[in-house]
Amino acid sequence: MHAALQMALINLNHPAHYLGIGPFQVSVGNLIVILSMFVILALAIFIPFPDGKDN
Amino acid sequence: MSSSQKNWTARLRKSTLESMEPQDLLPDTQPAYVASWIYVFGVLTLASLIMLIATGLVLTLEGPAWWHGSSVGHFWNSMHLWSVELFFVFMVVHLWGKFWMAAWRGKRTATWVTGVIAFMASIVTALTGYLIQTNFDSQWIATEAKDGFNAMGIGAFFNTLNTGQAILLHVALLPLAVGIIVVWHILLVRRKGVVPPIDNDATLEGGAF
Repeated sequence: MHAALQMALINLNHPAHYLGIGPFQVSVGNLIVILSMFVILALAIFIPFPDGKDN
Repeated sequence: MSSSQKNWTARLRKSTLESMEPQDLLPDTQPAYVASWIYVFGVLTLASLIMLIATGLVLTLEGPAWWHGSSVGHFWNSMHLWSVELFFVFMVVHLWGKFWMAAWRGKRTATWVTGVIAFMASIVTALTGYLIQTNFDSQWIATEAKDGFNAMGIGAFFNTLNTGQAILLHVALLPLAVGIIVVWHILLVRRKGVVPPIDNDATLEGGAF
């Protein structure tokens, strides 16, 4: 039970997976973080801010 | 000018009050264009930095054997890790947002430049953090980064294999530098005001408002 609670939702206990095109190489984890930042930027621009009041 | 007004404390007080009024330093309202999620990422970065410093201070109390070997140490180690992950995510989104709105407009060059310096200083601080994990990851990073710093010609001053130097840089000099630059950056933001959108140049140089 205790060991089960300590298990990560996604098993990270293995060497990182890498993607590469020519000399460019990036780990899947870092690529997910970078793509997430693009998504966050787009959401921050397009999602309306609540309770916007004109000053 | 009387003799008491010539001393440096009087001059500093006068110049401080002239350059920044209390209502600019702690405003209770903001222009309408600030009501957008893209304007939130600066303060999110600042909140992450506060969490970073707080969790880092906890880690200094017990040291590596604690953060590697106990569940409580793991918790604070993870808090420090996720604080820095969020710190950089928020800072990069803040950077992108400010870049695309050309946030250096309206005599805000110093604000932009201090932000750039804070970003670069944060990267060096993060590197020294990775160097002092005291695990195989930090050994790998130290031996790889050593060649990079030697190639830049600064290996004699900053030896990534010197864990003692990396610890002192990470817990003393670099946080102090990042902290001072960030405070300077925030004071400039408060002094010049939040940059308006590009199609709202009428308010470009209006101070805080």
